[in-house]
Amino acid sequence: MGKVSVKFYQDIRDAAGTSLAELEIEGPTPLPLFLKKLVGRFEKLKPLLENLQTEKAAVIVLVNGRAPIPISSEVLMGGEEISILPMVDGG
Amino acid sequence: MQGAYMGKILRVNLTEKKVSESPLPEDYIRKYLGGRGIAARLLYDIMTPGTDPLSPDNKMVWGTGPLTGLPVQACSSGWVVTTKSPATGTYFRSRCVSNLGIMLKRSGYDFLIIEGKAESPTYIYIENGDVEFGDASSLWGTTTDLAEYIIKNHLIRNPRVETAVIGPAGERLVKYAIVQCGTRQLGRGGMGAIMGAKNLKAVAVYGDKPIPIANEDVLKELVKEQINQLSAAHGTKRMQRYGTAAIHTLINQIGDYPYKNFRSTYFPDHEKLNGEGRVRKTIRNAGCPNCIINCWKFTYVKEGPYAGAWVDGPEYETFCTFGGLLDISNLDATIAANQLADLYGIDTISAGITIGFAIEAFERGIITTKDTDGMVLRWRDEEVMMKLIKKIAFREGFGDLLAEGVKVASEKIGKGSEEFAPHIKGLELPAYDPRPVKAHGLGMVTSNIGGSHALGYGTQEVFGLPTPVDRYTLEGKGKLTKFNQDRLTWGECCIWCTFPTRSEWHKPDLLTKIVVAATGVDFGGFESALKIGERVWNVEKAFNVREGFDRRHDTLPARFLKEPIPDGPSKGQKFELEPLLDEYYQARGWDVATGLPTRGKLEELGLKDIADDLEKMGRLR
Ligand code: SF4
Repeated sequence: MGKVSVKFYQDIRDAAGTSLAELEIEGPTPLPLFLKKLVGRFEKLKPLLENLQTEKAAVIVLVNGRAPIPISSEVLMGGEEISILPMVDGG
Repeated sequence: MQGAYMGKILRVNLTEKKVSESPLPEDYIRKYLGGRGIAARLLYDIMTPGTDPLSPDNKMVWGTGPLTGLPVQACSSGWVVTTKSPATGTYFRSRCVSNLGIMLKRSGYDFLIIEGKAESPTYIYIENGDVEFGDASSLWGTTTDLAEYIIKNHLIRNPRVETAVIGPAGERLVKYAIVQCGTRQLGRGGMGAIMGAKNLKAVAVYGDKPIPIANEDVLKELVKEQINQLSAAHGTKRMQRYGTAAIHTLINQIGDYPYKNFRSTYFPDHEKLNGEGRVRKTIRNAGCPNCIINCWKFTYVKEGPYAGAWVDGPEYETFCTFGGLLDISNLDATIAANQLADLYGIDTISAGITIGFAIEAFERGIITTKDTDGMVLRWRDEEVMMKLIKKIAFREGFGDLLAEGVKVASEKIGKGSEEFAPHIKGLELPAYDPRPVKAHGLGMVTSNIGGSHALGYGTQEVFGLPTPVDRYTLEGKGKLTKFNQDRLTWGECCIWCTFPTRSEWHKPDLLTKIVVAATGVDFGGFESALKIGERVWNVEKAFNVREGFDRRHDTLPARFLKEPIPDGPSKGQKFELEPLLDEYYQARGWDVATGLPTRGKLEELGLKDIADDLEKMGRLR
């Protein structure tokens, strides 16, 4: 059992309707499974969380500041901070 | 039919007040394509190694690309200047998006070479092939906005003229003086100082000649597809809303943000200074002609101590360097500082980084109020930032030292301050810490212009585009950096805007077809494009090798090599310079021990003459 915090930024925050969420996990949880759970709670995130890490991706998902590559390689243990940010360029 | 080029180079000698024209060499089009490529080769051809960048002998090559001025997305107002930088002593390219490039081309020229030194303050006016030398004595000392206004409305009396003007900083040879072009800039590397040293207050251009297009119908169809691709990209929508500041939060969340002079890479107050904040201050969205992305944001401060301040920006870099880097989280102050820098004509990246360095030196007791004209330098102090911007631009007191940039300032201050003076080859680092982004950092370390992110951006590590790559791994980063540099170089030869191109919101194969349709020259597909990029990169590198640069100069200050990042998402990261350089030189086909080019590589790229030059100097392996 552990908690995972999720931070939403910019227009992802608008879609989620909040800037922060905390979800419980029941033990080691693969990231894709966790994201499914997240969509269960925030339905409007569904289209945004499709096609992750492809050229069609709408968002970037970071776990403790790092993008796990591939997404499926990450297993959450509890205590992590996930950031969901819009896919961008600039600077 | 050949299209997209005007076929002529204009050469202006300020010393002799002489003007000449020459044809654009056909073989240069095939080998270097245009824009940065031809401008780099022309500069290599006409410069004598060892030239003082602030002497009359330095040259500036102002260059348009084949796509400048054409009805194509995300490119049409792009143009470049190549020269030797007073900040670095290296080759330099500065890129701008303003309509001056379009006017130059419509005036009949692809390239403009400026050399010599005017006897007294002068401006050059080019109109449809005619060149005038105007007296700028009354403009000397003015801010950039006033100089532009007077030139357009009183001296030339044509408000449609496009200008590039310097401010007080350029006149005073501040090493990072910029050239203001409308609301945009020729930034970094001291372009304004070079014009100041030439007594050249401004260049003004007007032209209305048509630009030929080789295959207009095909081009139209391809541009339709380009618009489809750009419209479908999520990044386009974000840039339309947030502009380049869209990335401010991301850079912080991955722990790559240069907080307090790179002592940390996480800005705790980032929620107070972010893209959303800028949206609230934006009164006008704008952009380059023919670009649906419209990434320019005009911001205005309506109330409070900075009421009345406005700027076209701030862009991401300035968000950081006049913001979080100095622990400032008041966007109004950032806007006001950006406006001041534009009016006085100094580079916001180099100025912010230099101020951050000075604050750290003060905090450590390396400098005191005796050195700073009595000022107490500290973080979070907006007044200190504003005062120092002015002191730097006018070279007043302590500002005179800071006007030299962090490399020279730290060498003069000494006492170990060189270890935390953030620069590469004398160019202040941009708003990214190289330590946690290995390819992105390697791109900066090996950039032909010093500490710039713009020549080989590691989009794969930072944005995960076009395909994500882990940012901490070392293996493969030499090859990836070479790819990123070659791709961006080719892009700047055509004059593609960097943002949608490097992240591949519009696809490389489509872009190569557009160039062929516009020019009528069969440059081939993306593989050939990368070859052109590689060739141009090697020309630029050879320029630097001729000036004495080699592996010893592809390095970073001690902070980045020895101090692990102390906190935040990238805690523990250092920059692993040597293995990264080894792999990079191998990927480039250069000598790994010295970082010098090899005859084999240069000949493979059709640069035998350059190989011969370097061999004569003992600088070839
Ligand atoms: S993305 Fe921005 S800078 Fe690039 S061409 Fe479009 S408006 Fe200009």
